Amino acid sequence: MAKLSGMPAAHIIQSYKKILDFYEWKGIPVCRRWPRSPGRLRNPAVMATSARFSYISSQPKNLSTDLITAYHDIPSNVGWTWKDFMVSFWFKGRKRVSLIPPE
Amino acid sequence: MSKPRCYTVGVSELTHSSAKFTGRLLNDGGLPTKLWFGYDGLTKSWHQKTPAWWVPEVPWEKSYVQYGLSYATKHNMFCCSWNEDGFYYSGNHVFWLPRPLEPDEGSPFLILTGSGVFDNGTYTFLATTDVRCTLYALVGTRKPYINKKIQMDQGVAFRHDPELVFNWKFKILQQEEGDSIGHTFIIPWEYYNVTYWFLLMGSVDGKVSPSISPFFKFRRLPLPQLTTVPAFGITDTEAYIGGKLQQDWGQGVYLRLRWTRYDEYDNYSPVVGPFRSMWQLTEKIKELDSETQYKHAIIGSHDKDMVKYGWSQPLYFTTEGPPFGPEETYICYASGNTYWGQGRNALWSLARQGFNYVNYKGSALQACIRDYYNQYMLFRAAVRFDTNIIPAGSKINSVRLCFRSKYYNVGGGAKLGCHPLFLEFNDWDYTYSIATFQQIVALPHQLAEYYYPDYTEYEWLELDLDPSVFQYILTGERTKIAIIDERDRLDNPPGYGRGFWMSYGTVSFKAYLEVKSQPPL
Repeated sequence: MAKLSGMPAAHIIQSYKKILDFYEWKGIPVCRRWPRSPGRLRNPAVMATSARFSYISSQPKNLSTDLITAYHDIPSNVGWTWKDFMVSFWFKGRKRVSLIPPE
Repeated sequence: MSKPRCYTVGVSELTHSSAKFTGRLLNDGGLPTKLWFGYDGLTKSWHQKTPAWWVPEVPWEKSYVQYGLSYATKHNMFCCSWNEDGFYYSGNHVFWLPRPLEPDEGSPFLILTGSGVFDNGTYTFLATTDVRCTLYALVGTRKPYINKKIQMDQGVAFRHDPELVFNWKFKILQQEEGDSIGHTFIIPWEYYNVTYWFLLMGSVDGKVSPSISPFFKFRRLPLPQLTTVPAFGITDTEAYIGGKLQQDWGQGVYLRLRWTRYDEYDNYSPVVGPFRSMWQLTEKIKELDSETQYKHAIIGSHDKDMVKYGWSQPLYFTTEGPPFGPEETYICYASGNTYWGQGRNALWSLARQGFNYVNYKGSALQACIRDYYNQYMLFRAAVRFDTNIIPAGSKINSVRLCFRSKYYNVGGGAKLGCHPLFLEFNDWDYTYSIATFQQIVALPHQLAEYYYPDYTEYEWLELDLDPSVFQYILTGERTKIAIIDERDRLDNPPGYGRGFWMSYGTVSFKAYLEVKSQPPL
């Protein structure tokens, strides 16, 4: 990643398509190598997570209507769908929710 | 004599919150000496001291486990000694405590089904999971809210993942022991109209699971206030709703039936109706059960699909009838005209006492009265009572028939009590056998000696009528009652007399009906 003094013109960015990737990071225009797919063989931890994600992604069809309603009713104004909440709560729900115990 | 000398051996047995200090006293200088350790830590940056110990012998090595340390910062530790000649501080040891070991994370679980029902004072929630786990519920009354975590870094806002915040009040463990697929939670609730929120957390195979359930909620509504429909004409068996329903008539009416008091929240029978006429509604109401409370609501529509217009404020009613006022007692005396009937043996006077010396000259009816010398027959007397003083539509609670009676059987034949007696009312259709001899004739002193006497003296009788005959007591008009036995049943109803008995009557012996009733409001 390289910091740039300014974001180049659009046609320059377009000309470097699939070679360089221009974007802003913390308000700073930067440039990096065009991201590539790492292929099938990934880090073992990533592959393990992929298997779990595949499992949880197949579960919505097994949920009852009440459960889907419960996920729908989660207060959210951040553009998350109920499936997003379901996956998030299943992976690391304890870290998603801040629990305030009784005084 | 000199100052003591000590030596800091070191720190051992480190945990994330404790360490074992070890020091050694090398020389006490010939005086009584104390030994202790000094250290500092995270919470208090200045030096802390352990307890001091008198040195029993020289050399002497002391170990002490100090708790309350933190792994988040470095620590200093040194050994100190003292006697009257002065202090001695040995070398300082710097050490760090290890981070605490994170417990092994259990497998995640996913709630597949979850539903609850209200029980007596509790809410029973049943859930199933995809893996065997042990769950507990955190219950609170505050709605979980979302916290957008924003970090400002050099004036730039960085938005992190949203964080849900939940204030929970109490924890409920599942009813099942150990890991299971099905989970039962019995959650007590205290307040009506308050939404209780809860979520499920737990462990799988003894290890804390990272998963949580979505937020569930339940809310208990208060019991609806049971009101009386502004209606009229509602009885036990037949009712029709007037008033408000009539105002909205022609707009279509739905009746919803409510089966029990504790199901009124959402358990109603399927919608019946709409009823397009009063006749349709009346036919339906005839099927209602007087023991059941009902709920009806009105919607205004000419369309079959009436639900889309919404329901009006529902009303609740029972078919017990219109509201009545407080109970009042009415004394309905026999009125002027006495009815006579035909009969054979029994002599019953509902009207008055002294008829047997009347020199009777004639009658409106054939052969109903004998003359002065053959006065053994007066039977099937019928009397008209002034029940017109009772407001029409009153609810009758009790009726007592009070009269004076005498029995003659001079000519022989069947004795008193051989034949069942009847009370006959207005219609004279001879179908109401509501009294037996033992019920009507309360003559204990005579019954003890002559169970079936030929002759009885006058007795004042008070007969409580059965509620089944209350329907024959006419309110707002007069009621005719006669006492006959089974041989007096004739095809023709009794006719009119001219009321001459009343001219001999005394008020004290006059028959009357004591009616306790509630007038309609």
